[in-house]
Amino acid sequence: MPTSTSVSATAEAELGSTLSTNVTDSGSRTWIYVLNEGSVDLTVGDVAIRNTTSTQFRVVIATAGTLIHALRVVGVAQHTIAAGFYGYVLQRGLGTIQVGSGASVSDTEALTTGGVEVGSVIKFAAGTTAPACVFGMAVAGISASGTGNAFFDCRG
Amino acid sequence: MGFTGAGIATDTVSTTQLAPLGFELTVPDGDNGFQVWIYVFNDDAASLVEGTICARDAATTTYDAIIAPVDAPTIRVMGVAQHTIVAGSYGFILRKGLGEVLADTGGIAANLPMVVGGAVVGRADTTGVAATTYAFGFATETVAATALATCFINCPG
Repeated sequence: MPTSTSVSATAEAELGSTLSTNVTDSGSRTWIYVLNEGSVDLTVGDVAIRNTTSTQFRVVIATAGTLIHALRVVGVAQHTIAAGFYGYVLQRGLGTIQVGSGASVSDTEALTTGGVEVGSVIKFAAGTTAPACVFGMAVAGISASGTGNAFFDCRG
Repeated sequence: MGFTGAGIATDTVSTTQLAPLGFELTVPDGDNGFQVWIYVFNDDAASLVEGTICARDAATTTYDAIIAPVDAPTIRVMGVAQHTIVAGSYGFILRKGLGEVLADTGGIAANLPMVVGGAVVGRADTTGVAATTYAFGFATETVAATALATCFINCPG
C-alpha cells in the first residue's frame, strides 16, 4: 500500500482513492491518489486540477493566470510527483501552498487559482473573482513567489 | 444523542481538552440525515452561543475557533455553535447537517444560500447572495433579524 508520500511510475492504488492522516489538533488530512498526466512535474505547493475530458483522477498542474472553478481543483501537491507518475496530493487539511509572483497573501485571506506561475494561487478578490473559485485560505502571511501554510478544501 | 467511545457527547463543554482539536463526531439525526460535529477550542473573548458562526482564529493551524468576523470568507467557517461554549472552553460545534443559525440584521430568507453577514459578528446573511456564491449553508425557513433559523449547514473550514 502506498503512503501519502509514495511516488511511482505504475499505479499502486485506484485513482481517486483517499487516505487520511492526522496532525495533532489540526484535524485530519485527506489525500487523494492521482496520476500526473501533464508534461510538467507537480512540486510542493502546486495546485493539481482534473485534466480536460478526464473521467478519472488524472490531473495536470493548474494553468497560469487562469481562474478555475473549485470543483475542478483536485488537490495540492506536498511533494514532487513527476510528469507521468502516480502519488497522493492533499485534498483537505493543512498544507503548503505556492503563491504567485504577482502579490503577497495575508493571514486568513481566501485563495483561488490564477497565480502568475503554473500551479500557483492568488488571493480572492471580492467583486472581481467568482467566489466559486475559492478552495483555500492562508493561515499565515505568504510572500509573493513564496510558499506557506494554508487550509484547503478541494472539491474536485 | 451521539457520543464518542470515551463518553464525550456533542454537548459536552469543558475547560480541559478531552479530544484532539478537529476531531469529528458523526451522529444520525433521524430523517434529517447525519450531523457532523467538530471539536474546537473557543479562543474568542466571548461565548459561542447557539447559532453563532465560528471561524478559524487568525494565524492558527489548529482548530481554535472565534466568532466569525463580519464578511469572513466561507472557507474560514468551521461550524456553527448549537449550545453555549464559553470563552476558553472546549466543545463540539456543528460542521454539517441540520442546525440553528443566527440571522444578521437583514434576517434570513428561506431557500437561499447563506454567507457570514456584514453587520454583526457571527451572524448569517442571505440578502443578495447569488446562486454562484460560495456559501456555507442553506436556509429552510424565513426568520427576522437576530432570530434563529433552521438551516442545512456544510462548513468547509
